[in-house]
Amino acid sequence: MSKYREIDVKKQRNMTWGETFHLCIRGVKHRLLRSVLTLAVVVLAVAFFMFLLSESMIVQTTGKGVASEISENRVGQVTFTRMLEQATELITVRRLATASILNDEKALKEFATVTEMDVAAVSALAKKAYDERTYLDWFDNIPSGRRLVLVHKNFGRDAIEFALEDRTRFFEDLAPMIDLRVPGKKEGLAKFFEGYKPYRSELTAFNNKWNEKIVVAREKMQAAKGDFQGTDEAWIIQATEEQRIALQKDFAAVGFAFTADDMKVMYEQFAEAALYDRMFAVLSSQELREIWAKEFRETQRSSAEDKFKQFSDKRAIKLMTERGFTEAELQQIQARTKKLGTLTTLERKLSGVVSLDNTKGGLSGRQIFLLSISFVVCMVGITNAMLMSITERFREIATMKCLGATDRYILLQFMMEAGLQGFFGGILGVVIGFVISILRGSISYGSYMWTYWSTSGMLLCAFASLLAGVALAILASVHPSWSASRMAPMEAMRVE
Amino acid sequence: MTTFNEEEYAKNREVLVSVHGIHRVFMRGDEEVHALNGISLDIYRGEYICVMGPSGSGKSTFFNMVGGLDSPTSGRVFIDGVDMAQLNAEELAFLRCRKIGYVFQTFNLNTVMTALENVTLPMVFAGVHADEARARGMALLEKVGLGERWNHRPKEMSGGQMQRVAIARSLANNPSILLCDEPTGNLDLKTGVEIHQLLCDLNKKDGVTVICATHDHNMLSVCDRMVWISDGQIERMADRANVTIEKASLGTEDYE
Repeated sequence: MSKYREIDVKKQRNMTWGETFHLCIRGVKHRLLRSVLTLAVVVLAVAFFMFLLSESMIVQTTGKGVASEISENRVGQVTFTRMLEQATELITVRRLATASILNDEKALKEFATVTEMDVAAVSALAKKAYDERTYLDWFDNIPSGRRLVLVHKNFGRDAIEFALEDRTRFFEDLAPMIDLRVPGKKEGLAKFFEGYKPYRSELTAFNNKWNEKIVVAREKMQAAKGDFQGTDEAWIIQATEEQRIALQKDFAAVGFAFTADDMKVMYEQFAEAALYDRMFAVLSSQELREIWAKEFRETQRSSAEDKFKQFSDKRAIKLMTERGFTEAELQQIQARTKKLGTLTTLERKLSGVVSLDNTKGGLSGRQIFLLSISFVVCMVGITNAMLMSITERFREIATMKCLGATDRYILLQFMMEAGLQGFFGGILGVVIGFVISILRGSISYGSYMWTYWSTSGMLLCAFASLLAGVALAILASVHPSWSASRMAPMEAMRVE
Repeated sequence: MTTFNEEEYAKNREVLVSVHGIHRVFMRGDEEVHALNGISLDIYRGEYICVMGPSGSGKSTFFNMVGGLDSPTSGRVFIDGVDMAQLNAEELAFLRCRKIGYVFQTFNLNTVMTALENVTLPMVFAGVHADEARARGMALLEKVGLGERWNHRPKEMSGGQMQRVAIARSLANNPSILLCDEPTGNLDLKTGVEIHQLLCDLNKKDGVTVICATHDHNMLSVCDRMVWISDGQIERMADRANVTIEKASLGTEDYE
């Protein structure tokens, strides 16, 4: 034993990240397909993420576009209603709240001139109206059981007033319901309650003032109509241009932000709507229905919309020309039907998935829930697949340890491999998810999807999904990699 | 029964691996299994030693102890004067990387790497510069007679060639010990003889200490000393001079 020679044993050096990555890359093209299961889970998961994200994005952008087109199509009617119909307090609240959140200076100025108030005072009131609207929504969305506790069976303003009556009790009841997230926290709600009474009287005064002016506007309208029997819209359609300009000036004098151009748009839209109504009446007449049924062998189910679409048919055009429609009118109707028909169908479709006045966008709670559930499920799936593939590779791991690999290296290598799998699988998943959402989008929204297309949004979705895929793979590989790194090197000696 | 004169054998030799009364107890369920029952052995530098024994004799366990792959329940193992029990995981990795070369029965090559990449892998772990690693790897492949096939992957090679690559890999960081676990177990007779010859050359020309576990009696002609292990104990030892006699008399019938 005297012959022992001391050697210098150091700690094994740690491989740099670069070296580890280099070794990983060497094997990855062979291994990528070997663990098909892991890859498949990643691809599916990322495709799902991508689909959800990009679909929600398409819905958001298309929805916003469609909503604005629809509101443009109705702007004449909306303006008319605003000037001639008595507003309830809740309508005023909604108008003020919208003007406040959109920071619509034109609308705020109109409120101020009509009610002869200061613009600053109106915008302050509008801010409070926005608060009220927010809290009204919040009160209306309280789940029924808790509603019973908090505000009994009251809804809307009744609920607010009920809560207001006994504020201390209300806040005591609210305290344990921590998942009922109050807009602006409890302090915000308390402040809102504080200022509610003065705000209400202010608002009532504002509304009364507004409605007084509506009476004035109505009188002007009545004066313009004179002996004309029929609706206001009908009068505008048949009026001469001078008469219309005169009416516009009358309205502007009351204080409404209503210009000659607005009048022109209103007139055009009313005229178009009237034409549409005329056509609809003709189409709904029993006589034409019978002819139509004979000519086209069609059943009763068709709506007027469907019928208009058939105007490309020469027989249909002939049929309608006989009833006094000119070629130009028919074309106008055709264009309008096509556009409005698609728009209203889209609006109906979109209203289920996206609130059209939601300007913020983003995923719904349900989608976030789905995403997180799928994330967890995929993580379990990948972890399982990787654990399996590691037992397959135990000899390789043990051999590497015999050759001098440290635990840290094995851990890093396996996590890197998983990351690379996540990356490549993610790219494939993004492509698949993209294709599916494009298909789905074009089925649902047709050309509108491309009108409101956003490349940057789509790239963001792709990037987010890819990142989620890589993160998913790496997270899922933590446990398998750790158990691989703990494997004893003597496993390499084992013979099956 | 041949006796082995250790004192005479140890003359002018330097101890490389020293094993002192090691025991190894495994738990199989609630039952204790004594794989090793107090083995003591000195292995000398430059020696070619064969460890023989039937399955379940504790041969593999002994092997793992010597190779620093497992630690004994009691007793001590010294490699080149270093007490294995004193080393932590990273120091053991350092030792395995530079001091010991492993050759496995199942070759254990990395199937996705070429022959050269396999050979240079331990050098990468040791932090050898890529160019130097390549040069040394090529030299090692030349040495085992596979210089031409450096760019082939394991599945394009025969068993013998794979084992040659594995031997080249085990020599990557100039280890003092070559630990071969049944290196010819998965090879046919002719290839087995070639591998023995290669190990023998490495031992004689380069002075590498070879520790070899085997069932293969062809080994007997090339080794310096053999150790029989049975029931976790050393049954007997014999040096080269006595080996030929053994081979002729009882060795074959006992262990084949």
